[in-house]
Amino acid sequence: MVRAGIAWIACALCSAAGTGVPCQAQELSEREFVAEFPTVLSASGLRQDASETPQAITVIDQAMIKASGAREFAELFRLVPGFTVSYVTYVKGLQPIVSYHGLGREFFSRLQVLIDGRSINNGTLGGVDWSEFPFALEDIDHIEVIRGPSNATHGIGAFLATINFITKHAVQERGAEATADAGNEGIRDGSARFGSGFGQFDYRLVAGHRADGGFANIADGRTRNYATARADWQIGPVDNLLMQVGGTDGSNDVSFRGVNDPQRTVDLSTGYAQLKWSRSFDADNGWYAQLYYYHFRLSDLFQPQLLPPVGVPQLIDGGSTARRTDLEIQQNFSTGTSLRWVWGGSVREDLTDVPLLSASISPLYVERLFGHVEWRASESLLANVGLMVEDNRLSGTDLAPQLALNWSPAANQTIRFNLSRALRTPTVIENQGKFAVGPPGTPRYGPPGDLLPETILSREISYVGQWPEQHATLDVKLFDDDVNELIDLIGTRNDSAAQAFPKNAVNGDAARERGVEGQFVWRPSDATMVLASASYLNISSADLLDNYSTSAPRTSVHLLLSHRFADTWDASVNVQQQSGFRAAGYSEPQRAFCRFDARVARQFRIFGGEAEVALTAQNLFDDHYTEYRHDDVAERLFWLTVSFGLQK
Amino acid sequence: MNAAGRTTRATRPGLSSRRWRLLELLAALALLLVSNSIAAQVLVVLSDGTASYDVVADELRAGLEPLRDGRVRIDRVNAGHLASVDGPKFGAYEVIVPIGLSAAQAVMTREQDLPSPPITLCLLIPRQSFERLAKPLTAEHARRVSALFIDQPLSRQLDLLRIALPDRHRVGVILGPSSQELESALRSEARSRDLSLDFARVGESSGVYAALQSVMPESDLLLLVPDPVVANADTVYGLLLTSYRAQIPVVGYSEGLLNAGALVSLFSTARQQGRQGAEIVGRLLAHEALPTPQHPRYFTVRVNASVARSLGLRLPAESALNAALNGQADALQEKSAHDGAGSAPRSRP
Repeated sequence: MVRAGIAWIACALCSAAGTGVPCQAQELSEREFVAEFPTVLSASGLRQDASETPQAITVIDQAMIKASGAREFAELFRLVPGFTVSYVTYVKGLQPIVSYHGLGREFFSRLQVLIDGRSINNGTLGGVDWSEFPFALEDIDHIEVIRGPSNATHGIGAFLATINFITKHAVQERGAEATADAGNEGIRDGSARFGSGFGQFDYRLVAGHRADGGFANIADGRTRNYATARADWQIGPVDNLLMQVGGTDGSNDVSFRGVNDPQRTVDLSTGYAQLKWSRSFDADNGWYAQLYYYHFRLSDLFQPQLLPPVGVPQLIDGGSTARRTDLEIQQNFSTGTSLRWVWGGSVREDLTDVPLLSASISPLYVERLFGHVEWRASESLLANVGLMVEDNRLSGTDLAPQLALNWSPAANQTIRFNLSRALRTPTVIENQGKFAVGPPGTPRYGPPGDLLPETILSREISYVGQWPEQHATLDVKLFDDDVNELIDLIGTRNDSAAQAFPKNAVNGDAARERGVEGQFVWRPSDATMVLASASYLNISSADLLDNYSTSAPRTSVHLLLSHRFADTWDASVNVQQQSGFRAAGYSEPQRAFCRFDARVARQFRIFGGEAEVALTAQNLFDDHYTEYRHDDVAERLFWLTVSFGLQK
Repeated sequence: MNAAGRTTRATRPGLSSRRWRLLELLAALALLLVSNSIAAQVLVVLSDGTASYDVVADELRAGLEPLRDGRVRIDRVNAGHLASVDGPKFGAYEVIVPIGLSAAQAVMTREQDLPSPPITLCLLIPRQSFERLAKPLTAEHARRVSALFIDQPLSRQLDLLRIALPDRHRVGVILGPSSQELESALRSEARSRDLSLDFARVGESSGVYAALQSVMPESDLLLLVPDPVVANADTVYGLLLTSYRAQIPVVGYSEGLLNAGALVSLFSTARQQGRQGAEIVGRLLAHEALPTPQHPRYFTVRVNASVARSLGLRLPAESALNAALNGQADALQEKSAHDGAGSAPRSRP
């Protein structure tokens, strides 16, 4: 009787969960054929094919991530045409800098970076905390890199390019896995993950540690601990709830830069929580509401080395905090078979606190409405029209429209025309900060500015050729972009041109960027992968306040080859060549270099699980090129990775 | 009751003499009392109140009503209320059409007590379920029972793979307790089509994820076969999302799977089942012999265009897939028969 009662309750719960099938019957019946299921793959969650996207796009998948020999997130973008990856040790320790088509400096690079749809651009200066990812490379499913402005589809800050990290869905990770790295320059990493679930509730837990010594001969070591918990709950046939929380905690060593910037260790911590409720009625109809919170804290209380002539030594608070709350809703639907619509809106609050730059900083509120429609005019013509309207207290209301036409004159051959305008809202610090950003000893201060958002007008013509039988795709993009109202922090250059500007930060420069870039992805067999990319970029600018015209390599070439031998060995080689350049900001010229990375791995079965041992070497021939500054000297790095996984 | 009785008596000359003798044996008195002018009585038994059963029943009604000069009486009852149809009346039905497995089970149980049960045509039932149900029947009973299966023949499913995705040859299949018996048949069908199959077997739903992981590296296509343990509400998310993210298209067997995210699905809709069921019952009412159990003649191929585009796959149009599977000649014939209101008439519900 009791058992019958339990069975009934179980059945009732099953039904209440809205499975569509009242209870998991073990006997085959017609229910298998008539059952309705939740829409797993809806339009908003589907990856667009390269020939149908309104912008040039590069997808980095887990196989490429492994083959690339990358150890940290920023390095992955060496694979992407037009991207430059550098390191800077000038500000608060070692920071990776990723930029697309230059114009970037140590604080930011005019990119939008999203993890599962939440922006991780720092609210203070707009940069990306590349060392603060609360998971490991293994937890990424794939990365979409949109090479071009895309405010209408990727939101605030999708200016020069957008990087969208899609982490593995909880249902993709079942069982336990652990990985450990050890190598030279203090490389010590470890991570562990566990995934499981019951019914339609799946979860995944990730925890790990990253540490390295940074560049040789500089105090720029980094240590981070991180953890993420994710749950995906399919509530009935329509509703899906994604819940994530995570954070990082660690420290950076900062080397001596002057008496007011002594050698010390700064502490960094981040935390986030995300809740996303999706309703999918069918593949083309649904909506979601997403709320997330991101917290960044840099603790840097230090004592300058020169004591003031009188009184007690004064502590300087070089820390900062940034807290972001963002609510977004989006609906997608179709009208007829040829029109697919997406529209939505978001509100964001950025609260920042940087005691050194400003005593009190008002919160920044940004509201935006966006929409785009994809019209399949015929089998060979796809049009995409989008618009974002953004309003914020600092720079008012502005528009970011976009128009793209994808025309396929023959099967698998597509030509894309894209015309778009995008905005980059000034960060609160740019607008309100009282800067002392001049070279050490010559700080310049000024009143806060009434800044306009930066704008870009991008014109793109691309060719996408696909050869499905050969598993090959070629993508070539020709572009001519005008970037206006570039926001400069005066004091970068202490010359007469800069002196003409009375404020801290001004819309001082403009730049025109023209060039061509392409990528070729070829998988001749399941065992072999070839990924090649190249770019040529010409930036012209009056360079009134910063050296924009040299801020990206004129040419860069990249080749990744990977092959699997005898089903147990993986080998890959990754070659990168780029011409010399000098980034904006407090940079020094970086000379041209060519570096080789290589990775060899062997998999085997042991203790009922899958194990892998891998040896990775970066800059194999030890080319001592410099990064942002002359003391950031690249060296050969190598490490051994051991991983073991038990599938459930 | 009286009206029904009258119908049956008037039917007498229209019935086969043997059939009349049986009815007399069963309930002579009841039959003497009845007198009406309806030519045939068909009992439709629905497994429950689910909409798809109603759709089959409605389609059946639409197909049968014009027969015998509009004098076909169709009674409809849910399996749960089958007991309320009294014995003589039940035995007097000319044809009984259970829709779904539960209905078929209820009807078989009921018929077991009859020395000579009515002709029975099961609709919307998987082949395997029907075979299991028919096994314990007496030879006499089994002779009077047939079925129109809900599932497609394996040959048709594998033909679809060849036509829809001709450059994919490595097919992953996850088999559960109900579907494991398909392995050898699938192997032999695959051999003639230059497909290589990689099987993983699971005993319970919790093993599906590991099974998927084991077939994915060896497969460029995942073929789902009906099995309550393999694809169900708990596993479908993982199956479809994981294979999609590995760029492996999924071929399904139902509209539900297609809408959830399978690339392409081959299935018979409830209306198609009802329509073919009506055709078979119509022939039975025209005194043709009961056909052997069969796979559906009407089916639908549907492609999930969003998923196809996202995977960068250019599949033939749905109409072309339907036509290719039907055979061009059949398709044309169908077209003329149904005023060509679609490029692939059999794909119409």
